[in-house]
Amino acid sequence: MGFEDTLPQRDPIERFRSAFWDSVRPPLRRLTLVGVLTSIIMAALVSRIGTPWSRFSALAIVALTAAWLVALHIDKARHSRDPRRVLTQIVLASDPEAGRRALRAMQLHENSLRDDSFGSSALAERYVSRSLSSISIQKIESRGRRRAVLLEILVFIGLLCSALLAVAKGHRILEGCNVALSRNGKAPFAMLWLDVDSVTALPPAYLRISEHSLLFGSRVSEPKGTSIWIRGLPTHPNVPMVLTNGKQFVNFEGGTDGAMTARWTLETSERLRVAVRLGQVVVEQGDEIIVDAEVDSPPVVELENANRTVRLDQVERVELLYRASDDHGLRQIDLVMKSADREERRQLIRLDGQQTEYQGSHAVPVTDPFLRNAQLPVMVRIEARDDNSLVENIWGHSEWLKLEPPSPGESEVSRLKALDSIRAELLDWLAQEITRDSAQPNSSLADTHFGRHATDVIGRALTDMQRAWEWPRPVELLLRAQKEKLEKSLLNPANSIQTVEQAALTVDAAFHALAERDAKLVARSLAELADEVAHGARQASASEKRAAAMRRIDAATSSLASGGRQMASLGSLGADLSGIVRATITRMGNARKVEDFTHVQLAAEYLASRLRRPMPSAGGAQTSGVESGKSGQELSNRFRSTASDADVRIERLLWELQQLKEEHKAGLELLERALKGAAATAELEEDRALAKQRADRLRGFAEHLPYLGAEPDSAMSSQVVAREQALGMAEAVERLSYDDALTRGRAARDAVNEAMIRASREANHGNADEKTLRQLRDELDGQSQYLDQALQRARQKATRAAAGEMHDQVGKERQLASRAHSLSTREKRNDAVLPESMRRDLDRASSFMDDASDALSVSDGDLAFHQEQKAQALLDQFDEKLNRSSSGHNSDDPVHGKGSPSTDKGTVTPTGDPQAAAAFRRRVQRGLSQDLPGDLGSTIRRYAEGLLR
Amino acid sequence: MRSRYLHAVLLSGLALGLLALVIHPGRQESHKVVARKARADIATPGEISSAISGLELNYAERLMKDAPLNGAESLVLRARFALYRGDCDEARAILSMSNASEVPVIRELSQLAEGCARAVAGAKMITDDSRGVWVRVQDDADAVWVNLVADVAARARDVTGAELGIHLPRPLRIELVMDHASLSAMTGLPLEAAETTGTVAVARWGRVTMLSPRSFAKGYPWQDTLAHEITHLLVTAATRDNASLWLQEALAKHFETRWRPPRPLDDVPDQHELTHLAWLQGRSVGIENLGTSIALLPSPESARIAYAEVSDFLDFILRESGWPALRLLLRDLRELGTDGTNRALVSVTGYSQSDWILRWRAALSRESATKKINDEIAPGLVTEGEIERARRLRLAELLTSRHAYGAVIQLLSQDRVAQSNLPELRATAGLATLQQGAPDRALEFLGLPAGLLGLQGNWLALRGRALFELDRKTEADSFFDWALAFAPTDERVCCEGRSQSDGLAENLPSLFVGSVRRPLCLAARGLAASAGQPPID
Repeated sequence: MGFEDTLPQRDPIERFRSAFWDSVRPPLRRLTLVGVLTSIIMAALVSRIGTPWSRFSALAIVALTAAWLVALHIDKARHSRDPRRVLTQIVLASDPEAGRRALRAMQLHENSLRDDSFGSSALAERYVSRSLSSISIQKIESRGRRRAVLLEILVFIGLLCSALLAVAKGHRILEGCNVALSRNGKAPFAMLWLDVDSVTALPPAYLRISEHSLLFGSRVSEPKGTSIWIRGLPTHPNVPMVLTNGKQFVNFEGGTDGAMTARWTLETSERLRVAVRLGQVVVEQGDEIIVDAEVDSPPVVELENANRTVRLDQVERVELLYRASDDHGLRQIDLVMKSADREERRQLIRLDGQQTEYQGSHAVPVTDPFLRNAQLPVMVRIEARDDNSLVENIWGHSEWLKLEPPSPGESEVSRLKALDSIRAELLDWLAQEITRDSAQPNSSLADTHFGRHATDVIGRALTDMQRAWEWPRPVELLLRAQKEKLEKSLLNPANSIQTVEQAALTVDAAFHALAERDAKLVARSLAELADEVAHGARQASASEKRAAAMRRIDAATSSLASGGRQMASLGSLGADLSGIVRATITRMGNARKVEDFTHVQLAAEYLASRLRRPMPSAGGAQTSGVESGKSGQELSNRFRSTASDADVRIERLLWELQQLKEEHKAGLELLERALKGAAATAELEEDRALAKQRADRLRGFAEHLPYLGAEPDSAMSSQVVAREQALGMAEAVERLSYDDALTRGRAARDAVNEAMIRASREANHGNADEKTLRQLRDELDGQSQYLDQALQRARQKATRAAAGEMHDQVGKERQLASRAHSLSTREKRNDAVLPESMRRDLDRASSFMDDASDALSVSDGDLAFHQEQKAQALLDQFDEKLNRSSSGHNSDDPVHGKGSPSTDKGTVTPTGDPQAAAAFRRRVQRGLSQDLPGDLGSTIRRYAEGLLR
Repeated sequence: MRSRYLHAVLLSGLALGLLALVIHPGRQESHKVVARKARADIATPGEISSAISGLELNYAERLMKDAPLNGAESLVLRARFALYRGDCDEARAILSMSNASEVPVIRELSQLAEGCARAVAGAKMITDDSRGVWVRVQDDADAVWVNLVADVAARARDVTGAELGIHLPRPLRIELVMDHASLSAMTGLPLEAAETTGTVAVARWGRVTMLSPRSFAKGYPWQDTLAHEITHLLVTAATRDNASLWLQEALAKHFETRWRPPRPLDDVPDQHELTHLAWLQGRSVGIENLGTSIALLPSPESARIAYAEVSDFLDFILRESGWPALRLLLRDLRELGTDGTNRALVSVTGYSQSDWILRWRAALSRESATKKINDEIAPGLVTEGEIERARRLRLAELLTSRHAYGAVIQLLSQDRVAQSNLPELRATAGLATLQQGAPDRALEFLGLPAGLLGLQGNWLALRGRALFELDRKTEADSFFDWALAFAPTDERVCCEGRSQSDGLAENLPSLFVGSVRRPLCLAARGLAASAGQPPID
């Protein structure tokens, strides 16, 4: 049983408590509510800062407030009826004396209850009762009323402050509450921030679409890159407003008129809404605008015959017909060519960006450097770019067109087969002859069928222009020489067997030489393909490029195998190297099967280096000497090489002729310089006074002729021309410029003749003064003759002065003549390798050189020059096609396309073709070396010389 | 307290005792003794190198495992070991890790390993365990006749080894390569030297590397070449590569043909006659002037003379001292080092090398000069007659390709062919006659081996065919087998004298092919068909 329970007067304690709390309780409750309200308002304003700390602080404020109130309530509930507490907090504050007395009494009572020595508990109890009864209720009530008033005042103040805050910052309080309730940075309740006034879209300039309005709250489509402007009036000032898609934010900027504007550049489809950023929390406005981004598609390109393969040896050029289209506009169209790791891009056309469709064509000749150097297939396509300036390099493209180059060695094999067929014809003929000769010794040819057939085959082989290759010069000469001899033997059957034997062996020698040469050329091409395989194998080791590397290896290996098979037909060296290629490809395949790209690379490198040294596998000696048993192979090989050396002799002959030609040309140029120098230094033996006299005499005649008012093509106009030319001649004579004077004089004379002829046809003789014309003509003749002689004398004098130089050349020219003659004589033998016609030209050239030498010995420079030119023209024919390549894959001179006009046939010389120009020059020189008959001969000569100059 | 003091004293005493045990002099001595004993068991680099050179690869491998070698020395030994085993990739990998490329021997080995790896990358390897032979073919097409190679190699090894009393460790490694470039790359022989002297095989790096007969238009006597090289390996194994060059070459030459039954022209040219003639004409090379390799001599003629001289020199020593002395010499050389031949000769025969040379030359001088001094032992300028013969031969070959057999026979009239000792001339005439169905006449044209300058596969095959068509099958078989000894990849040789280019395939009787020749014939024809028929050549 507790003390309180034994307290005698519990009722008075309760009366005291009630007297106080009945007044205080109501206002205290109101104050509590105001306190809670105020704490919420404060918390909202703190939370509005938006940072995590602020929100945490706001929460803490509310929580602490709530906790304090709860604690207070609990405390009150637990201790408000405690008598001691009542006496202490209520009675003592209201009536101190009575309160103290009561407390003492209670203490005494407690003590008496605990300990009997303190006295009687009954007495103590009566003491307590008396003490309690002396306490004034009125005082307690009065105090309670005073406390209530105070609390009411506080309530009023609290309410007033809250009201003021609500009025002043009411929206902010709401914002703060919204922020406080936010999750993941987004407030749960939408709030109105911007009264949207206008939404404007401005597409990219290259699309040439004008600015237009959008409706906020709707869904629209706009091209990618469009700028979207949102403008409106803010509903609440000084809030950081943004335009957002939920992840990105663009700030609104204020204008002078108070409106806020934000710009959004459309990259992808977006849902745009207005929001306010309070710290890290976004409070969105409820409405939005949905904008779907339209991506600018790349152009569409169609190429006719794409996804097909074109063999380059079957066409002269590759025609590309294409069509490009774009949704907005085309800017550029390119041609792209790719082969292995080579790529080339060429601009075909540049457009204005407005055209949405374009159709065009382009032809790539097979002689194009990219195609000519291609060993592997070439992929070609057309690419088009639109006018999109926002994103670089958006290209649309067509499908690939595959161009397959001829297999390395194809044209070489084709040519060798042609030579082989010639050899076969000759052998068949020889067999026939041998058999006939043994059956009927010393009989004449009974059947020339084989012979004619063989010569026809040679003739066709030499003249066929439809093939893709050419004969090397030495082979061509050998064939022509043999054809001439065989044709003669058909007419004169004696020694026909020896002739045919000789021809067969010569063609055989040419075959071997050509085969060896071509095998080496093809080997070098194949070496590059082997390099490609090695490259591919290296790439394949890097796993990210493996697929592309495998394709590269496959393409190169396929071309390599094909080329190797072709090379097998190129004689013994070709067959030998072909075996190397075949075996190495097998090794590469073995390694490739187990994806051992290191070994693929090693094998390919071996093959590349081997093919770059295209020697026979067993060396040149072809012996099995050292480290072996018997050396039996040297027996016949040394004999094989001497069966015919026609190939060696023709090469040597051509080399000697080339030397002769170049040395002679050097001598000719030296002579030309000497003569020009002589002409330049020719001094005229002329007195200026005398020259003036003659000039005046000429003028005297010329000035009688009319000088204007002439109808074209009339006798009068010819007279005018004659006058002008004659006066020009006079002026030149006076200047002592006799060459010019002679030219003018000839022109004047021609004009006089013309005037006289026209006058005879016109009425009234064209009003021509015939007498004056005749006099002028005679004067012109006389003066021209005089000038000519004067010039001749001057030149001869200068030539004599230059005689020393010319004498130096006498011996040289004689020596060159002798060499030409000995070469020609050498080619008179039965086993000659030069065609007879060319041998005769060589003889003639020798003869001209001799004449030139004779002329030089008497210092007749002009004649010597003339003769040397004729000799040089004949010598020049020996280099016309020297060392020209045979196939499109050769790195020598460019290939003539099929059916291209031959400059030998005198067709129009294409401009920019230096070889054709040289051939044209030679033809002109050859013509000039001949006599030009007729009245127009001199005119034509002068015209031609002018052309050459 | 007291117990703690007592514990501390006890612990200190224990620590001192342990320390004393560690630093006791006697203990250090025993350490040294143990260390000395361990070092004595480790092989030196020289020992390992000798084991490798002597083809004792298993032994060398054991030594290397035990030897803690470092640096360049280790690299060289390991790389050499790999090369001797034919593992070029491993050698390349070992040497690629080296940053000592300025060391000449490493640089040389690197180049060799690189060249070898390239030459045999992806190559097929065929092992014949029963015969103890390992063959790697650079051209897969050569795999078809590897069985022949293994057979010859095993026989040559066993017969020669028995005669010399030498055992060659197995497997015997043989590399078949396609060209001189590969031969050079795999052996280190300079390419120009190989081409100049016409080297076809080299025994080096513990292997025989030889050209496939496919490299030559008409093949070459590969069997004897292989036997020659295997003799080199045997001598190398026996002497740990200490034999001098003349002894190596003399023995190799001597045993070229002794592993097999005799064949025609085995004694042609007579080595002694050749030596004597060279001596008389002043063209001797000299035993002491051989240099480092006969393959490095300036010309094929020098090489022929050198071979003849060393053969004759050895024969002279054998006549004077006998085979037992030679066997003893080889054993003695094993331990004497690279310059030991002279000492071995002295100890075994009582004469030094220079003494022997003097004696031998004296014997040569004493022989009567029955040969004309003007006899050519080397080809000089081509004569007119030879030119004419060459023309006729070439025309005959060309006419043969056109199947104009009658004209061929006319061209090579009886007397011309009968006068000729050129096998190709006789073969051409023989083929033409065979194609005309006259095998007896063909035999006349072909003639006998004794009348020829040398044997050729083509000629042998055609003679075999003629004999076969005359129903002399046993003789035919011998010729067919001999033909394979020259050109086992040539279609006409493998197909018993027939070729698809003869143009009569469909009319031929069924090909009589033994178990050896059939696959070779089919392979040769298949290869020719896949390459396409080339133009006449």
